[in-house]
Amino acid sequence: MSSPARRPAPPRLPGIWPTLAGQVRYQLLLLGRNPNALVAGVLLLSLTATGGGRVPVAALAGRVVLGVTLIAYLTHAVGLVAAREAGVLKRWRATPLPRWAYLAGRLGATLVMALASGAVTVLVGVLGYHARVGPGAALGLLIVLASAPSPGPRSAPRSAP
Amino acid sequence: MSAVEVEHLSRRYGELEALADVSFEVAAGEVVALEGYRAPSGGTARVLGEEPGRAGRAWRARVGLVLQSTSLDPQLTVGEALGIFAALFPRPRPVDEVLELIDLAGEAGIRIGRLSGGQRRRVDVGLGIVGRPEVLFLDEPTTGLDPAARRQAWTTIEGLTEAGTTVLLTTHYLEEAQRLADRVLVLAHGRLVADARPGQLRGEAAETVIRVPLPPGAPTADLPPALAAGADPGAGRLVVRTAEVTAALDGLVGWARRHRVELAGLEVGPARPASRTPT
Repeated sequence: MSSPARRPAPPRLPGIWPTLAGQVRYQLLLLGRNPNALVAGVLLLSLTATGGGRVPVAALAGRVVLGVTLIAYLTHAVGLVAAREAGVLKRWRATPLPRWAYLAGRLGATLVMALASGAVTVLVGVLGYHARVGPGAALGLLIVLASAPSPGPRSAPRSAP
Repeated sequence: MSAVEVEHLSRRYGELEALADVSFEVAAGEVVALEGYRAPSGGTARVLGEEPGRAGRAWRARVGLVLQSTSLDPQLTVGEALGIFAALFPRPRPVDEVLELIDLAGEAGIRIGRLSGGQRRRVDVGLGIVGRPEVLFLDEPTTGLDPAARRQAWTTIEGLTEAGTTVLLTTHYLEEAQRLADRVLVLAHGRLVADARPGQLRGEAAETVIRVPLPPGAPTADLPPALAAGADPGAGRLVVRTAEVTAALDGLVGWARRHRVELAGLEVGPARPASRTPT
């Protein structure tokens, strides 16, 4: 197809936004096929909410935080270490993908998952257990989500050589 | 400009000198096999005119790497993995074309975790070529594969070389180098001991001649049997015709190191009269 004589400058690389979107989609695909985090963060949590009567908003908030933390830990921290151990990161290093874009893809996917987990937990609380959630609670949820991928779980991979 | 330029590479592991001042070039479109290579710690290597450690994204898009000890996400299907990697390159090969090249068109929808070792290796090669690299590095592409899988991998690599890609592959199998490469570089005890066409390395048409001047008093009695017959201490040289070049050179270099004999003027060439006169 192409002849050995190739001199012209290579065409432009794909833009950074499509690349990032691709990475987030890729990580979500992986999470969807390996749904440990979703089970732990959403399903398990919903099961703990059994018992009759009304669930206080504070208890619901606690479950949201627990769910988001579990998801951030199980998808972002554990997943990153596993990918590194298996040599998946090394495979990516041999491509034009910038290192930070891989991490950003993971963060993006984690955020989407955490958001979904929070939404489902709140929904179950409101519909199933008559929790009263006002605008203040929504604000709190946003704060929790904003802090989900922050350094706590991320410092885990440091111990590897 | 050469596709790959390597100058004065060296590497030591304690006492062991794994690379000692190794230099070579690879021209565009050439397929070169390297035997006995180790990662260097000193010297310079340039690929497409840039040093790999400093080069940016645009350069990485022109180079394909298939390394050992990497792995692929087992949850992805073959087609998905190729698509995700293809999106990183400016003008990728169509995924279907890559699937044909790696002979996995029928497995596009299968998850990588379900593939055999040989199939996985071919997916890895597919990821290495999906960006249409100008230079492709294959690090022992068939190590650990059974003979049938190895032959299949060879067919894939041959398909690439027809497309004009420069390929540098490391291997421990002389058979592999002979089948795939235009040129074979043999490293023994850290030194580049042969740079030849594959046919010259193991006698298909002709045997190979190894010539080296011997310093006075060299302990020729201790030479490996295959070499001892060719030693002529009176004339101060050793001339060996052999079809087993790698083994012969390995024995020669080992002997030279044990006795601290400098193999200055060592020549390896086809058995027909060499174009250069021996020194």
